[in-house]
Amino acid sequence: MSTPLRFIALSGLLAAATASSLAARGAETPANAPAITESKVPVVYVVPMSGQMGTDIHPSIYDEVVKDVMEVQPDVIVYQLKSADIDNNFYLAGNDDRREFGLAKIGEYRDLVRTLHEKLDARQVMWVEDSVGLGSLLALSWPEMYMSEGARLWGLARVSSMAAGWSDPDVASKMLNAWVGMGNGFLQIGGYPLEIGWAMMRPEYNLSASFKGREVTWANDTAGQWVVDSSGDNVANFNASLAEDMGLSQGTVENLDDLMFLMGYREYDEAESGKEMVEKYVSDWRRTFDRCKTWWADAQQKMGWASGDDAIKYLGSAKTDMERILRACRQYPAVEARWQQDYGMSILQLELQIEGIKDQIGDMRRGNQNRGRGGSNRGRGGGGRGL
Amino acid sequence: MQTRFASILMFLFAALALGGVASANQYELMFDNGSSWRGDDGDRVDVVFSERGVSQSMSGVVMKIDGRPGFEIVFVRGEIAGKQATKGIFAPDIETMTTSGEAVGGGAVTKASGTTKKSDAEDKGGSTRPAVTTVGDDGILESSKRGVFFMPWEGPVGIEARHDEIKSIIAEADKYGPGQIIVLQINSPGGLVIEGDKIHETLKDVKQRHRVIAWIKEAISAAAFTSLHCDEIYFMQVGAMGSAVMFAGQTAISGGELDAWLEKFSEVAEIGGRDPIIARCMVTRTAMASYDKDPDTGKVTIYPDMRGEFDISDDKNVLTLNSDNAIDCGYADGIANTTDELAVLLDLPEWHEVNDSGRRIHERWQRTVKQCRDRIPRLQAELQRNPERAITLLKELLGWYNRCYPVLVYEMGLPPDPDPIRRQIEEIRRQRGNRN
Repeated sequence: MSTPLRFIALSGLLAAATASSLAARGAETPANAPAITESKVPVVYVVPMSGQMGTDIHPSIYDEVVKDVMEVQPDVIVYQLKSADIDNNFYLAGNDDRREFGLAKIGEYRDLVRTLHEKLDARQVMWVEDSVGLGSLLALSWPEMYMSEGARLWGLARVSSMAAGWSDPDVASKMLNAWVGMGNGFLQIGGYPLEIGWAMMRPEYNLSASFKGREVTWANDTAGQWVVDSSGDNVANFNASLAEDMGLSQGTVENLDDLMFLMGYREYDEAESGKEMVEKYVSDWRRTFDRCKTWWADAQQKMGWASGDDAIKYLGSAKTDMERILRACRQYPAVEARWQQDYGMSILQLELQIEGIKDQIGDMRRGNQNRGRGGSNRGRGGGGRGL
Repeated sequence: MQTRFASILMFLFAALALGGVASANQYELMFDNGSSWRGDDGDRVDVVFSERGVSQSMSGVVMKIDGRPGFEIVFVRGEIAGKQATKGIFAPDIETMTTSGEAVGGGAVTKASGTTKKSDAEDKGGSTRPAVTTVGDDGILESSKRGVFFMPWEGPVGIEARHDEIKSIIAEADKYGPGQIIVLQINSPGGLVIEGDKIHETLKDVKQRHRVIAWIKEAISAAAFTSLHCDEIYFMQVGAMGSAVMFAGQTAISGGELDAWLEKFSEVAEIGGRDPIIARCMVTRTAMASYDKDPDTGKVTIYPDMRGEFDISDDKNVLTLNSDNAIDCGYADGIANTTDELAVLLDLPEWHEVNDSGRRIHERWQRTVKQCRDRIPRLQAELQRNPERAITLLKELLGWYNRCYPVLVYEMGLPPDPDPIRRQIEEIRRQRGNRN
């Protein structure tokens, strides 16, 4: 993937577009404003995490982003999360595809979070525009979190559902607690207490909070001053306002200007290369996957035509189509995951199919040559073995 | 005398390097198998290289090294076919290259005399100096810098994360005498009980002479069992450890079998210097644990029920610890997200790996597993497509039993005993013999 041209746009804050939101808070200097003594305008690098976990939001693209961030050396990194991959009312109606549900691998995201925390040396902020499902683990991996108006921090029941299907109570508990323990690792790196994780991942756990000054103590019961979840059947979920009230979210924002103001920056430059890279990656892999579907249909058709004099020609062409699919799977793990999901075929199985076609072509050629020595180089190919 | 002279030369070289006045001609070559060589023109070296697919070796003196990085040609003057000659060896063809007398990868190795040993000891703890490994009169290696033997231990226990690799890193540490620090970076969802048994015996033994550290990203089930043996446990902040219910098919063990497993888990926790009450909660849902913590001294008192102020595990859940509760109840010794942070916790002046053997041991096995997973399905497909090659392919399959048994048997479900395959080969031979 080529690195897109880096473009740093100067965004004046306190512009008319955000006046309404700021007016609501008053125009005074934000309380948590960092002491900026230099005239340098801080650079913010926005890293979109948008779309389906496991495909659009895939660790492979963030390796590139990390390299770019290290070059840009921004003052602030904003992870802009917008993922609702198990929600029926998915906001990306055009891209919504239930077949992408469940492709995310927790271990890969754990490594991604660790990499972002350890390799990048800048103030890092999570901005949740919407999160339902495993994306909420990402959301809770950063201690400084802001949410958009109406944003959800939902859906971590998905973690415990990974352990479903075991009838023996001890084995079921082993699987459940192993997954929940791994899920809680994300909250731990984000600095959130385990009690929140248990309540968000396990339906039978309650959640309440008690306040002592600014300090919040969480408990998995209903005895606290503020009961978040008293149901024994559902996990705890947070929307933007509840998360802000409970101190999980530092504030509710409308847009980046708003967010930067809350963080204490009156003006900033935005490095847009990360956005461009991620957006390009998403459109590229999706377009490539669509092509793969066409190549596959073409390959099937050509194999159906592979008889008679043109057998070798059509088999060769089908092989080329399948080699294109193989290359696409190797280039984009998202394509590989979707290919496995939709067509039930791994890279290895694709390779084996291609080798099978090669053998078939070889057999036919040998058959033709033998026949050729007998006086004719025409005739039907070997066929026979199929895929 | 010559050896001694060479040793002194090597020490001079090492001393120059330590003083930061390394020769301008110093080279560093990295080879495809992960090993490396660092040295200079005029160094005497032993080289093992591949030429037209045949492994060869020669000893001699480095005359010069030419070429761009990764594609260097190393000119070595030495004995070839009974006479002195200079041979140009293409660096990518080199399997190993060691300065004569060098016994391990990484830094140069010298034979130490009593006096040089003393100055060597004085150098320990230097934070910016490269490490030098010396061989004592007793044959024990010694590194000039205090460091660790680090090995990632990842994947399913018994398949990717094995007892064999633990034994190998211990053997490497043993070369340096007792008192070494072995760090196992654990990232495993658990695995086979039989592997756990072997690990148990080995770790129990090694703790007598080395300091064994578990650095946990994920230690579930058999990996938790392994971690609990260690002298110290450090969590990455994302870490999780526990859920060690033993089961067969769909059902957890029970009765006497469970009692024995609980006993063993308790014993292991105690070997690691930890309270067995918490360990038992990882093994069965019904075991409980809670604790009180003295606000002044921080002393933790653990109870096998829920009477303590802080809950660890109730009677409805199998326990998995995360970094917060593992630290608070004293089951983990600290949190380290990076090797530098771990070095501080281990009381080391900086993170230093004595050599890269642990990483190489790990990579070697991971590579074999990957090759096996890739090759076996192809073998099976080829067997169907080319039955005339059956003998060759079945013999290759037998070879994989030797190379990568756990993947074949535990992951791919091939029979544990390869004898039927041998018989099949014999049968095919017999049939073909009859046909002829």
